[in-house]
Amino acid sequence: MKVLVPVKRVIDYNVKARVKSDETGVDLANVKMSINPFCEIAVEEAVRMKEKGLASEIVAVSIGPAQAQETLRNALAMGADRGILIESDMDLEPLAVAKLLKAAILAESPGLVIMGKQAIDGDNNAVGQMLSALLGWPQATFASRIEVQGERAMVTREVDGGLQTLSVPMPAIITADLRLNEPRYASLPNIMKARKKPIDMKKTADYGVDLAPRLKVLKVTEPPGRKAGIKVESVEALVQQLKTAGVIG
Amino acid sequence: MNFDFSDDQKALAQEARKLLGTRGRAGTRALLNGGSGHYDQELWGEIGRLGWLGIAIPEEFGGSGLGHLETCVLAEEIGRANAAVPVASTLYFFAEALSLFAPREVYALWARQIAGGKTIGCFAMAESPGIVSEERISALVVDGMLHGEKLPVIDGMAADAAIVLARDGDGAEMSLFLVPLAQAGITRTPLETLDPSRPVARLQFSGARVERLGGTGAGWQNAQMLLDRAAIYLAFEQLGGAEAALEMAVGYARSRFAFGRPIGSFQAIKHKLADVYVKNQLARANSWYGAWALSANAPELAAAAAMARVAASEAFDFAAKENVQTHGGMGFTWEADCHLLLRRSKHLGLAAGAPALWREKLVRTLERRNRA
Repeated sequence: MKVLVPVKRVIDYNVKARVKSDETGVDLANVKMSINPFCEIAVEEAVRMKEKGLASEIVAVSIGPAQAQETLRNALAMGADRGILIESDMDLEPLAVAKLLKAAILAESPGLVIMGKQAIDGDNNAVGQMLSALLGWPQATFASRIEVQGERAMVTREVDGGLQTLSVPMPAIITADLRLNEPRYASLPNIMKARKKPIDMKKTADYGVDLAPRLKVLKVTEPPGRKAGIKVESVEALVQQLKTAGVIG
Repeated sequence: MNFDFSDDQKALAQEARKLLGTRGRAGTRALLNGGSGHYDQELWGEIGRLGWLGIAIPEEFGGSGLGHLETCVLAEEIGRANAAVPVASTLYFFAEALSLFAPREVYALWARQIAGGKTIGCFAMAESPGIVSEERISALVVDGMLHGEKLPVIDGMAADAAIVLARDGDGAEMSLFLVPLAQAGITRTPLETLDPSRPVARLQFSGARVERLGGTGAGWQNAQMLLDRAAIYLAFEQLGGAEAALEMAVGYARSRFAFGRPIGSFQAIKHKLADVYVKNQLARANSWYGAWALSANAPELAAAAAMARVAASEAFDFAAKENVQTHGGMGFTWEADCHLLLRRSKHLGLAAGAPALWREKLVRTLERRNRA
């Protein structure tokens, strides 16, 4: 079974994001970029499937600038077999990403797609669901456990109030939650091998999909700074303050 | 000429940083807080398992077959992470000495062990504190058995084998020797130093079996060659430490507010940090030059090593001290990690001879070159 894993290049999770002075977006100049942590978890799950003999090939796909090759190399060093980079310098919306992925998936015909539940830059949590709808494939989102049983995948999902287990026929779209696994560190020999694994360079135009934006970002601003607290003399005064602030009834 | 690392080497640095970044300092902190062992065994095991210890060892001996430049990249990340692992002793000294001076079959045997993370090595040259000179070497090998004492030996407590400089036969000449340390006739005693995460030991030999490396009588010359090479790796470790100190200081200066402003906006702090940055850049330029000389085995190697060593020692010492100062009162506490970097800067500053020694060496090398 071929497994396809979309991976996104995002601002590194250790970096404090700063808003551009004209408030049009986040300033990415000279900022460290890395693989999206949820995508990394998805790659790890696919590699574990391959190690168990459940997957025969892992294809990592990224959409972004030429530098996203490094993100793909990261996935290749972890154990993906080959990469596809769909080059784009545009800040694509989830729907456009889902359409491009759909086209890539139809070209590759994987038996399963595992992807991060969301990217930590936009936090949209939308591409997996849109992709499922566009392909007409079943979806199992927020997976904390995946077990392949013949032609079906048993997926445990983290939902409000507990865990839900779905049985989905494959091919399917599964989105990875934080606790699905702990991604491995790539070994030095695998990092070296990854430099030689193939990356197929594509352009968005190769897929002939409509990438026109549907959304308009009006303004991006920093969250308001934390205000200084106050000291109160007694528990009663504290309760009163909390009531005044509307924290308690 | 471009001395910068290639994109592939920078990618290696990123991977090494990912592995070491979050864990390096935690292990060092644990050792300082009375943790057991002589190094961070968990991290050492992980580094070995992931193949980093075989970075410069040929693939036929279980390594990755990369070279000096990639080892420099790893050294910088070890320094940045402040990791408590015996990489310097094992890779920069022990493995380097074996690759230079050991017969192929001996090298093959030990290289596999090193690449697999199963052997820790060390280098034992000095016999007392202070400047090491030929006259101060008295350890003696007679009939293949070593007698004498070596101190301070970095990672001497943890090491499985040592490269030892000792007098040979009648005592007139010196050679390098390979000494497996798990044998009778060797006593190890830990010594107290400022940086317990890079512990040192006294090794006493009373008839330990040894194997000669390199030519008989070439010991001093070979030891100097080894020190030149190790100095460049150590410079990268110091550079990584200096960068970490600057990052820590900048991070604090941006987040610590006084009189309603970040303290980094005050001249007293920002000028201090600018000075650290300048010294770090100077150290980086000299370290890159050293890395080039090492990888090309250039005639300039000795001078380049001395320049890198002096610049990086000064940069790390300065950055570590100014990091403490930037943190103000917090900088002197056990809770802030500033002291970890300060301790390491002191340790690395003496690890292969003090900067004053290398400055002297640089002057002598340049004088020789100018005479020629």
